[in-house]
Amino acid sequence: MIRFDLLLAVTMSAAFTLNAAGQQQCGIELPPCDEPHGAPGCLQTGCCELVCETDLFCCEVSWDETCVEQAAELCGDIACPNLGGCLEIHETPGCLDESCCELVRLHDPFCGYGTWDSICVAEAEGWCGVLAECQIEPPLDAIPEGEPCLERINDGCSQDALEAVASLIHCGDQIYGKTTTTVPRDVDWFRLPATTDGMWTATLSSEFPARLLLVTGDCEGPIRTVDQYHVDPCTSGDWSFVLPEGQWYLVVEAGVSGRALRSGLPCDEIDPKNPPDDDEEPLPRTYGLHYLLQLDCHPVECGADLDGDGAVDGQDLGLLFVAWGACSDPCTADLDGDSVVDGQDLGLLFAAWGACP
Amino acid sequence: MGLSLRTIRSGTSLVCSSILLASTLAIGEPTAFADGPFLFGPPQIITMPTPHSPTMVATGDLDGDGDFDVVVPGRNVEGFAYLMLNEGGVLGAPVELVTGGQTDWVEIVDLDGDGQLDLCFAVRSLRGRLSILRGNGDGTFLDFEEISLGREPRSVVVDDLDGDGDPDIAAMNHRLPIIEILLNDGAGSFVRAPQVVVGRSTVGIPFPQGIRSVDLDADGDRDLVVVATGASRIFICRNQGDATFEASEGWRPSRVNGQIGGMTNLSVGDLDLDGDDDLVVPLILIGESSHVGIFENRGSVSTVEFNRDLAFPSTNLGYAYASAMGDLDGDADLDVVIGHALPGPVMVLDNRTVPIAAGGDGVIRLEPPQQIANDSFFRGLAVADLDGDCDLDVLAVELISNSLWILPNLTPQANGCGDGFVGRVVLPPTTRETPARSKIEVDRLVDLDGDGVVGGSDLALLLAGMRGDQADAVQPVRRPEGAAPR
Repeated sequence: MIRFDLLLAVTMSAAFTLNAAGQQQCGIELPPCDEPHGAPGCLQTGCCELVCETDLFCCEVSWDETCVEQAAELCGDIACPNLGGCLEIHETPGCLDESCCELVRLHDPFCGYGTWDSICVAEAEGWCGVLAECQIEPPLDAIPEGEPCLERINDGCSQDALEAVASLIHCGDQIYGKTTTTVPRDVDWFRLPATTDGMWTATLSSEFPARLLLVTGDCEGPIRTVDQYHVDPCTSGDWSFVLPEGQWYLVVEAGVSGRALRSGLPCDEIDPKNPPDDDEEPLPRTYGLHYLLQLDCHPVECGADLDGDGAVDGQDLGLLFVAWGACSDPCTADLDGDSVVDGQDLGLLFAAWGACP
Repeated sequence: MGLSLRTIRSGTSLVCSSILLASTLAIGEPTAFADGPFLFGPPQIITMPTPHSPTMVATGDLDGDGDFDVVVPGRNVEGFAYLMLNEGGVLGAPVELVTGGQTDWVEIVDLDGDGQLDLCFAVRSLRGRLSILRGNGDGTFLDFEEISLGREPRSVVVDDLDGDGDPDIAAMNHRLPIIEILLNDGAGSFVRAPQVVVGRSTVGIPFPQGIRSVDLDADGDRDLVVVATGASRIFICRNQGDATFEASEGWRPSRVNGQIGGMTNLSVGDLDLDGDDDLVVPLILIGESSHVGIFENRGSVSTVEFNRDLAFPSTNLGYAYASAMGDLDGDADLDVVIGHALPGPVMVLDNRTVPIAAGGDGVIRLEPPQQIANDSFFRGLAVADLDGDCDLDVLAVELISNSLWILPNLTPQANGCGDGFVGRVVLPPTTRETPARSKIEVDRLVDLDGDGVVGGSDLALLLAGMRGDQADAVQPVRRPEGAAPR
């Protein structure tokens, strides 16, 4: 779109230097650069000057929506490091810790050209501090996840899948996987064994900030993410959970508490359909791409099954009555462990009546 | 929160000329009430005084004279919305309301319990915030107050979320998948309650676009429903009674020939008259006629279940964008109004559901759409009795022509309301010629939500971000890698 007003402005201001124009119209008296407004110029001086070097209209006529869009495109690189602590709210963009500043700006560009507001601080609190580089060495018996970057073999309910597309994971498995933020972003869904009860522990080691999600439901709906767990890059975490009956999925994705990462993990494979040019610079990679996920299952013990036949029934009731009263170890009928077989144990037995889980 | 105001007035000046004009079109046999075409008078078109990119329209009695006044938020670079006071059924000239930023949504409600309606705007900014204008009761307002929010709030709902009798606020952020809950202390001051996370279920970016409140599980409290355009899902957040919410549940809309439509908007109402509220979503489809998708509430208690099998065509002229519901023919059920984009007819779908309570099967049936207006991009809709004749008129904001359209309802009303107009209309009232705008070239669309496919959700995101001056210059937008699209 040709902007005649811009052409006019350029013609009329030929004697101005761009910087001079920018300095005249940028500063603290003005509204912020991320919001369109009628006056020329905007609050963040560095960003304002940068935009006006490209589009003089923004500093001579009006800071309109186009200027805002240009600010979003142009100003993300100018503010790291910058004044202000990364864990403190301040009016200027960026913050002192360059690596933290870069990380936050990468995922929330506003923090790099707008103001370092409470959201940026919260993101810094969640994301910064663990920026180590590492490389996970998978154990020999680890199972490769086996999904190339550009394929979609376990992306769950993404796109228009009628049913969740997921890999299987079994108790005791260790999965060596990879995920990326290259569009389409990659997430890895693992279908948990159809065990109906018990404690589960997922152990995740990751080269990138990772999230584990517990998801249940149907792609068409309802589908719910009922809980999540976060692992910092180059660390490992154990997440134990109990699952109600149903089909559950454990999902690995790049992200931090409450948010998925949108960038920083570009695919490291060559797309045969779209190979890069020889002189093409690879996209910057903030982290490694790999993770190691181990699943351990701890079935609920069926303590009231005194005879070990897989069910709590009349035979177990009989054994409990036989052991009634004071009872020293070992005493299988002392279900609550108080060294007495009494009404409480009887209640526990009745509560567990039926087939063991 | 629904407004209790529903003042019935007999006199009207807004539609007098419309009635005369329409009457000249009326010939032939009388038609049965609620069984004929919808009839709307020529629109009263109010062009905003400055480039405003109007985003929605809301009504309420802001000056205490018993009729509905109108507020139109917009993406105005000067940071104001427009107020039009209703005087005897005629809207006055737009008056600027300084809000401090571009606004995509407004709720009209008495926030501080002083008996005067206040305005609560969602300011669409990466420094997201609410802008609250407290009403003086005479159509004037105090200077705006701000409450900070997350990244780019595009919609807000005001309702009693914690059951203490005063209106609370739930605001959704387009660029953060969280809903922010602000609890009212009864005097219009707000404290933050735990946020609600809009669940993840796709690789794409959810991009929430709209939020409404409704009791879906019949437990007496207000649940939240979010339309997430990027995820092509609605998310249900069930209230536990105290403004804390269970993990959100995502639901896809009904598929149309296998395609999942893009969604930008949501309406709530009891379509099948079974005592619970259903949800209506406009569906943006590629290569298909636009549709209206229905989430029919099955009335389950302590859970939410929908029948999603129903979808009705809304037009093959443009992309379904905005929705509203109201009983437009006085037959005691809710009809559906859909605004479209590029081009932009307004269509009404007559509700012909026969409820179970009346001996019917309760299956939702909507008649084929009837066009009541046409222009370029009707981005927001509302229904209200503007002219005081006790039938519902349609209000629509037109993004491209920067205007508010008032469509006076002349439809014969089964309940005896209306203008007394009886007859069969041979031709619908002429509005405008269909503008010669081409549809968006879908092959130029890009994957805005980053899910790896270009579909209705991407088109919906493109439309939702559009300003009034952009319809003829739709540009592909960068993919999210590296930097989020704006």
